[in-house]
Amino acid sequence: MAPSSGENPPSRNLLGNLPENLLAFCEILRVKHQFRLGPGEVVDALRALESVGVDTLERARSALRLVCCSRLEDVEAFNAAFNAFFFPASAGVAQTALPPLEPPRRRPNDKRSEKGDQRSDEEAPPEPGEQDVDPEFIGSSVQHTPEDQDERAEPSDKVLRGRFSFEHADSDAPRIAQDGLEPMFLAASQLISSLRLGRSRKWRTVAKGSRFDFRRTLRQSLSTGGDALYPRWKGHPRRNPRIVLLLDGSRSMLEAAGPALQFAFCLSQRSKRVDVFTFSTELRDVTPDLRKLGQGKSTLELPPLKSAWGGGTRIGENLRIFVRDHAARVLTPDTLVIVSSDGLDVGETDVLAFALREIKRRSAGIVWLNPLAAHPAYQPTARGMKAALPFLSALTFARTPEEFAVLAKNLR
Amino acid sequence: MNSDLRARFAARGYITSDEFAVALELVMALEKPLLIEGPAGVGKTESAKVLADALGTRLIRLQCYEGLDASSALYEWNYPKQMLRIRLTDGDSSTLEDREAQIFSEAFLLKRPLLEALTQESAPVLLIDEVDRADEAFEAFLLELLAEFQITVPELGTIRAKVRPYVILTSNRSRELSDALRRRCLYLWQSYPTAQQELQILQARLPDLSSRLAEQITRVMAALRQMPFHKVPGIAETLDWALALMHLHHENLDAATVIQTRGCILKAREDWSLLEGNLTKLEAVWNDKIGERSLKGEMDFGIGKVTVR
Repeated sequence: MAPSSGENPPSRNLLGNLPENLLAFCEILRVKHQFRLGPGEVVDALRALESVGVDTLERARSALRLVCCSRLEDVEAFNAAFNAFFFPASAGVAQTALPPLEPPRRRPNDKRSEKGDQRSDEEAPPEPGEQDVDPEFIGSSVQHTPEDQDERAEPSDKVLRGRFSFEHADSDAPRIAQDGLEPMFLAASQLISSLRLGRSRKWRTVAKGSRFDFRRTLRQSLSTGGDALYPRWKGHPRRNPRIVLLLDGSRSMLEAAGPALQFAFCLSQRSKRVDVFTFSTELRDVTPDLRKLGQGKSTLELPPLKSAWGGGTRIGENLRIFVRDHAARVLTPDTLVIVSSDGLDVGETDVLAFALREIKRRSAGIVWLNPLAAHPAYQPTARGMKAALPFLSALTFARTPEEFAVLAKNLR
Repeated sequence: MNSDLRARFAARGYITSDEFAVALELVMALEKPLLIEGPAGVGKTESAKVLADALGTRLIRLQCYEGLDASSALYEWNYPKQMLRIRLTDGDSSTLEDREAQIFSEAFLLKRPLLEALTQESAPVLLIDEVDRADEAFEAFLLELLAEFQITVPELGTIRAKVRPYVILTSNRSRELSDALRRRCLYLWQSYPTAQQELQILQARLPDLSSRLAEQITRVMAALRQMPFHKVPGIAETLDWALALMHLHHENLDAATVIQTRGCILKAREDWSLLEGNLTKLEAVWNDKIGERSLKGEMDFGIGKVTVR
């Protein structure tokens, strides 16, 4: 197969023989990409290669992909890992030959020494047009130059940096307001009790069901000499709802995120079938932290959430990460997903749409709480909201316990 | 073996991709089930039918649905026969255990598709169709079957397959299947075919179709699949449409013909409106001279990115 090709540079990953290479490759898939590959799968992979041979690259790649992947999302990761392992890239060209990731932000009178980075103290404020960043460059992949870390940067730079920089996230620990906690607990209880997701598709033995259970009736009749005295019934049990909250904790949402976080805390205390995630430039599962708060702690203060609170907004990217890393665990057809966000995403809307499509497909529905929707003239015309709208069961807002309590009524 | 099977598939009008051919080869070599996921209408179910036909073996199909349980998929006891036996042996001096052993023997067992597949003398093709429609509980029933090719009937014991069937599971991803089920299968994602593949399919299935019309159809279908329809047309719709155009004796596509026959490819009123709104742009697609320029994957229909240059 490929490793033996003389055209490809040897990789430090490549070991002596095919089984060793395959073991190392499966280890990478398992550790780096979270593939669930046990010894059985590795043996199957070897048998697959033995069957199709290693003389044709595409056939060998297909065979390994068929064995190692178990869902569509795995395919892309597999292809990348396969190429990286068996065809490691060369050192590449010098970075200076590559186009910049960001347009240069030149300022008037920006006189730098030949050595480079010293900026004149007397430099004039930038002109508005020159300071703007090309929208094409706004996205999760934006990288920042060291000069962005300059504390003397202009205020607009700080805003941009807050949006994109992992380091600049507000590292204050979010505190859950004690005021109005009781009504919020009541609202959480009301939502849980009023949430109706219909009946399960499963057939279960029930006292009064719609289907006569001949099998169980007959087995029961054996104890009464073959007379079916005790009929047994089957029916669809009620679906036991699960709730997942995805709270946007970015700077633009901090005011509205307070009540949402308080509500999430109350929900997590009222039911074990609740999972809470916060995101800003990163995503974090705060469910364990919220549960600990309820265990007799006097102050309701979460640990510092770093980049998952108080920084920039990367809704689509974070929801994609949620789908990739957590959806299999927390999303079921009985799960209601509540997203609290203003929808002002700076990333690619395609990513947001993909993530929401996946969440919708795997859950009972998505309710989007947008604080801007409280305004009577609000229209969901922001890029993020337009992309999200086709996948939502409801777009509404909630700030008070009363509004949180009636969220279930918004479900179609 | 691989090229031979591909040829047999092609002879039956089923054009296989390279990866699909490798998948079939591994199904036989590893004796593992094949899970095929993909949008509706790309030929997942058909692949199992053609495989059975190509191998000259029996196709046993289990169509999954909400509420499907073991008694409908694996086996069921013949209750009337059991009742009759109980009544007939009422006066017997046999013990309760003996009577129970009698009525829960293989003679009183009704075989459903899964058990039927395990008790064949020659390996059949077992198609478990749209497994995502079945309940999670039913997946658990499948685990033992797909890993060991055996099932356990509590009253009888374990029944092992005489010969392992070739198992193909299909899913439209209407819900997420469990990891346990996925791990027991080879995995194949079957997407919509490329325009070239679809052209080959049309030529294989409908040899009387004119080549110009076939190329127009595949161009239009490729363009349609870039549009946000409720139900994106698959290969089945392409074949239906081509067949309809042949019966109507159309040699070329035009706006009136597309409107007349849109019911073959689009099955929702909203999708018809979207089609009508983009008819002018589609006209440019089918009016292109064959071979003059390649069909771009992304096109501007006013609803997405403009990437045509």
